[in-house]
Amino acid sequence: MSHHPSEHLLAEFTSGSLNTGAALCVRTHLEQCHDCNRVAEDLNVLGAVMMRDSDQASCSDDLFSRVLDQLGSSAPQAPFSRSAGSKALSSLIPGGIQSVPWKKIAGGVSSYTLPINDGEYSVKLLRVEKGRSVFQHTHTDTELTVLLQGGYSDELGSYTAGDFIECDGSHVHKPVAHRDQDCILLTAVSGKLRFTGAVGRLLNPLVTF
Amino acid sequence: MKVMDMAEAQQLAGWLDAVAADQDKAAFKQLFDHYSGRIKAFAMKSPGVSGSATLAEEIVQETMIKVWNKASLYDRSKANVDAWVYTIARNVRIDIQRRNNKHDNCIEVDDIWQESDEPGPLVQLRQRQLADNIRAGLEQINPEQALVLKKMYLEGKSQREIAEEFNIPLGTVKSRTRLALARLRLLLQEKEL
Ligand SMILES: [Zn+2]
Repeated sequence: MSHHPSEHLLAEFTSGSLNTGAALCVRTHLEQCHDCNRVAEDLNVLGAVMMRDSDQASCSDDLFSRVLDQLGSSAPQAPFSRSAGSKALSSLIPGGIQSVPWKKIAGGVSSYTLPINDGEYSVKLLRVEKGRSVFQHTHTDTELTVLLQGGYSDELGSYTAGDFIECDGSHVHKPVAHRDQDCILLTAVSGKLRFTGAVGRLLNPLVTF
Repeated sequence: MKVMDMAEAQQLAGWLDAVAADQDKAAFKQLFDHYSGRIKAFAMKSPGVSGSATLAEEIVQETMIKVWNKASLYDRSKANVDAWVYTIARNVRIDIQRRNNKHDNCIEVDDIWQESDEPGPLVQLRQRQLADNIRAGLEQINPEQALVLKKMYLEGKSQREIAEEFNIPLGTVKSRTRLALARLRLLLQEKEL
């Protein structure tokens, strides 16, 4: 794994200011990346320092007793282990990648829209058959991608499972899946995709990823 | 500059352990007294709360109830108590913002913004030094850049919202954030040398 989210994006994530679609992509990378986890932890400390050192507001006198009332007689939770290595994505596709009802959108490319409505990002799984490509496109805004399986290459580099790729309007790219296996991606796109190739341009009004 | 002394960190972790082991309400009260005013001030700044003391106290309640319920999950080898409580309060705030925006997502906030599951016996010590160094660093970076970090972390504002608030281009907000983080990182490295 050699492509990681920027520290900037990790700061947006740890501050809680990133919308759900983008945050899901960051989380999916963090689940696989020790180094970025470490950076995220440092950034949580930054948040903690700010919270600790900022001003304090006085609370209602009875606030503590209201909290106690809500604890009731229930004992604190026994340690439940969020099943080790549990993936955020798996709560959206409980049957796993195999169960995804893919919808064909172009030769060799299928997609599945995830049920995330955060007001900004459109979040999809994309499957590109081995050796096939996605039409050359660019973005009016941001495209975040995490590779879940397989690999692909474009004008900017070569990517394998776990890699995190952030593109904006300045990138025009035409990803091609590696030949050894189908490539599966998680993507969050804000703004619109614009196809730029000759054939791709014809698709602009037709295809919404 | 306030330096968080080791005694305080130990004390907080000790209270949390007492809650986990004995459901000790006196220890819980100590934690409540330490954090409630800070969480409320943190919550009051959030755009979704828009200054409502009632809503802010709901965030305090929800956060402290989670602290009680999750105390046994806290592992002092993994995070300092401040960072742990920060992540809980942050997640409660994200949840409230989602409810306000009527975004119904089929994924829980805690599933995405999980608390750390990164092991490491030195984290607690490292984080405490880190906290002191970050505190010192924040006082040295350009105030305009520090302000952007404050807007993000304390108010939960997106880069776009910050750009709108100050009426500056989104690119400027992004570069201020980048510069602030880079400068902070540099200051931290100097401290480690
Ligand atoms: Zn990484």
